[in-house]
Amino acid sequence: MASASSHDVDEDAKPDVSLNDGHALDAPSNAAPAAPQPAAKSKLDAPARRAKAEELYQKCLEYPPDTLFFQRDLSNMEVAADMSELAHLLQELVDRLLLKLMILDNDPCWKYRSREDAQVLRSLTSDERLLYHHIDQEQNKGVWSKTLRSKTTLTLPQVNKALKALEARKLVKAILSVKHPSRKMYLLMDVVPSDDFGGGGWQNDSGELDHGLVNQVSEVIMTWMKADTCVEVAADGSDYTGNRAAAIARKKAHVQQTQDIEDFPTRPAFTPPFRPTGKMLIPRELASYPTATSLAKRVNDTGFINNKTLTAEDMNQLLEIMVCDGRLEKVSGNYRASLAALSTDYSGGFIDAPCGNCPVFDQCVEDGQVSARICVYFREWLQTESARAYD
Amino acid sequence: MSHSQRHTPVLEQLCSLLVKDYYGDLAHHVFTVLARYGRQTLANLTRESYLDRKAIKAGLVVLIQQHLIFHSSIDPRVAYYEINWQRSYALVRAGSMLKLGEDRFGQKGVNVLANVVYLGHTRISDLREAYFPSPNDPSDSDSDDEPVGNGTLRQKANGDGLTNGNTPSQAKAGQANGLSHQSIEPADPQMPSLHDFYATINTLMRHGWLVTFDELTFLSPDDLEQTVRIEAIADMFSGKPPLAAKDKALLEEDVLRRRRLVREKALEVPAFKSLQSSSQAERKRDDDGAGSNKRPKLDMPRTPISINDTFPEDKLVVGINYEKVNIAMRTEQLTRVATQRIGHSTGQVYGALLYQLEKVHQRCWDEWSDPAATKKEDEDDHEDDPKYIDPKFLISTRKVAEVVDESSLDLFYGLDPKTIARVMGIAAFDGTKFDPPLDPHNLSRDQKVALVAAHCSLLARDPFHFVTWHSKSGNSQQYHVEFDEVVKACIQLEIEKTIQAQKGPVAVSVIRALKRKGRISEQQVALFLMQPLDNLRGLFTDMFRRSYIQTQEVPRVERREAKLSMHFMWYDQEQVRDKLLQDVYKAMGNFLQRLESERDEIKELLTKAERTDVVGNEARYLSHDEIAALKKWKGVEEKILLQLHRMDELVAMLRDFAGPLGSP
Repeated sequence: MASASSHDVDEDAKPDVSLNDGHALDAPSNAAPAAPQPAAKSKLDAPARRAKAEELYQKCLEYPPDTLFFQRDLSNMEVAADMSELAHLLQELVDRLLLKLMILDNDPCWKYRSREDAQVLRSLTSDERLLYHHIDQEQNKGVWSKTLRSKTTLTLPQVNKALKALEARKLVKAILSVKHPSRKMYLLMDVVPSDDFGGGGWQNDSGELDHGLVNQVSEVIMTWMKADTCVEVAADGSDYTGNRAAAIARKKAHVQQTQDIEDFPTRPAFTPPFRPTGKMLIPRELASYPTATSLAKRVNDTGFINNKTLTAEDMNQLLEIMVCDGRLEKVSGNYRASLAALSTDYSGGFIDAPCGNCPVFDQCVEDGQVSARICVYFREWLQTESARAYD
Repeated sequence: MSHSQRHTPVLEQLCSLLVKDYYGDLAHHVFTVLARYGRQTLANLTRESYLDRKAIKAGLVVLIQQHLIFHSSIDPRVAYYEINWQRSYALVRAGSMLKLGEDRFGQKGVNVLANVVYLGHTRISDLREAYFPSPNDPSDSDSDDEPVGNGTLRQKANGDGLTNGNTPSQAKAGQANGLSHQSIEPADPQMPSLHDFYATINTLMRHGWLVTFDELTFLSPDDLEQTVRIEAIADMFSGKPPLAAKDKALLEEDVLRRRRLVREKALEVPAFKSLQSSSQAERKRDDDGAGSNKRPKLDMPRTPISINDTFPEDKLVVGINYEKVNIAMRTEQLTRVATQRIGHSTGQVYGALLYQLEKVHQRCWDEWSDPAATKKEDEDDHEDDPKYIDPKFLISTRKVAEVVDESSLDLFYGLDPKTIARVMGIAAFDGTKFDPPLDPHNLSRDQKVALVAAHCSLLARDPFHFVTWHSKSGNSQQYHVEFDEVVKACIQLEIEKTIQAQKGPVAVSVIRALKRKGRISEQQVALFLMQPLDNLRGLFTDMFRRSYIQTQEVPRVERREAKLSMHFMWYDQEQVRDKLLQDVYKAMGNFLQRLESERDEIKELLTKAERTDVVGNEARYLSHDEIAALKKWKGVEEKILLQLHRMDELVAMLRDFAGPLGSP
């Protein structure tokens, strides 16, 4: 018996597997090149064939779902007498939607459906079944409703009606892609969308990026990061006032002493630092830097986001964004809270000046229509009454 | 073309405005002609400028004296003149240069520097003559008429010989740099004795702030290269240019070496005879007494130098070395960045550390660097180690601790309390409050070293990597500074600050994302930042228009339809740096224009206020309104000059502290 576990084969099979549910679904004719063709004339009568097919299906059911059966696996089940009979039996099962024909590495293979699933599929209209087939073929890439329309040559109301019915039966789902936010992409219900849809763990149920979630989680992470990588120091942690007078006297002496040119020049006297009232954050000496994995675990463990688990990859994505925002900073591969987000204390001579933010900076030339000599922004900045050219 | 001689129309405009502001219309006129036509002969200048030869010569003299133009006589028949863009721009930097000099060398030092700036370059004897006029011959004490510079300039240090009649107003320099020094007078209180004078000059030269000037100093980088190339070809290949590739490479190497030699020669400080005599006498006295071999203090009595004594060093011609000024500016600015990012005390410790390193660095970056320079010593040991660092570039925390003045600096500030507890040996610490409080101004030597090391560790762990740990020596740590990397991070910071102010925080995120991801499509940017693409598209266009991002269209099909093409974008730090630099130049030019037009507004009043009878009697001759207007004008001028100074700091960061960064 050569059937592999569904998981193993699926992993490998994904890129190559295309699906053909056989004639009942009007599948593209090139889907099953090597499938055994039923003989022109069947040796078995209908009830016998039905019974044998049922037996084959029962044998398949003994394997876990999603197992792939190749032709030799099925013939090894010793139900069909010969290859042509096996072909008939398989055709019968495919027609009844109990088996799903697929191609892996140019070899036909089959996967079984549960009786309930098959029953649901059988109850679909032909339009719905057609759409289901196309959606199934795209697997985790999803298919846009407009593409479905062009593939099936159905009209818009027909497609919409069929998709609505499929959604109602919980056979397919529509999600939005970050790449194409306006497009509804359809996937089978149990298929996990591919990474192209973006967002990953940050999408909500309809596939949209959940900004609320992103903001909430990043807020929480900031709190944790600050606690883990920084230490809060009160301004009066070491409230030394005891010998202030002596210190001032020393400082005074230092300032007043005459400097000798032949001394190695010392730096100008330092001014005592301004101690802000309240508290300040200081990087820890020995910080335990949180990682994406540890943070993802922590978020999942606290369970403050419902019905969702974040992977380390999702967390990494968020951390990268927070670095770009300037909320975190990366130090040799570790993340820590940034205490010096673009400071505006000393913003620089250019952007403080009228020119730095001037909307007509590029048009400004000497003796031009716009020029510094008659510039109104300069006048505002200098608070002068000059530049009479404008008055 | 040499990197330092690159110039753009915006820089041309800025420099000619500066020249106009400092040296008047004639010099400005000659300067603009040179800027427009590039390297010129005197005959061509006369033809292009519609001025007579005499006037042009007068203008050229001012420009040459101030080193705003190079001149070359490689061709013996004719001299070529070419603008020195670096020095022309440096006019705006004179004020901050003097401030930095004052911080480092005190009043005497800055006094000498101010005079040298004012004179451009000067012979030491002339400068001495100005401070201490010889009683015998007030007009010329120096019988040696050896030509200085181009030979036409035998400028008197007292500034009365300027030939164009435009006094490069000292008052103006005073306004720009805030110095009140008006004229050099005998027995200047700033310069009490001749010994002080020589000692000051010697110190300035040893620190590289003053360098000796000779004929080669006046050559433009290209002319200098040509000169040394001719020499090298003559020496190595007996006058015939080499043809073989190997020989050519050898020649290039030798040309670079010779260029460096010229530069190093200017930095050499000869032994000052004037100082030796007195210090020998001093040492003799010391030997008799305590036997200390400490350098003599100025305040101690010593053999006075007579006014008639002359020394060999009097013939040296000295001028300002702006490369050293750049290093001082770098120290200040990196200290400021570290203070902003980490905290006051850490910033001050960093400042002290950088200050100690100033002396060993000759320039911020070297256009003609020697690739083997770091391996010169102990070649065998370090040949395989690309990370080998010359020990002179290392600095130990002990050394920093020695110069950090804890009497006025709280070394506890900005440190993890646990670190403080560890250093101070406090076993029981509740993590919140030291009880009894610790005295930050009374530390043992070891405690100080340990605290400084803790600050250095903060500096090293910052994403800017302000310092890099090298090794442990005894109980202190050795650090070095990877200036290129730090400056690169600072340039990025300046770019981000500008973009933040102009386009908002999202634009900064976009820049950072692009910097991290390289060349990606706009969808990928949106995906990476988790932002809807529609919100970003406008911003992308805006940033592209401002040249903050670059874009590229790669067709996917043969038809090259925009719809079917892939659109990539990326961020090129070097390009944005250059773009920002040009914008700042332009803004500085605008400021100078505005200053001029504001001055024109109250021209009449200013003329009146400057009249000799009015000066000092303003209350009597000027009306109430006029005094108010003058006061307002002072405010406006100050505001504009201050802003110019701040923009100059940005220029220094963007242009002078690092060489080309290379594109991604």
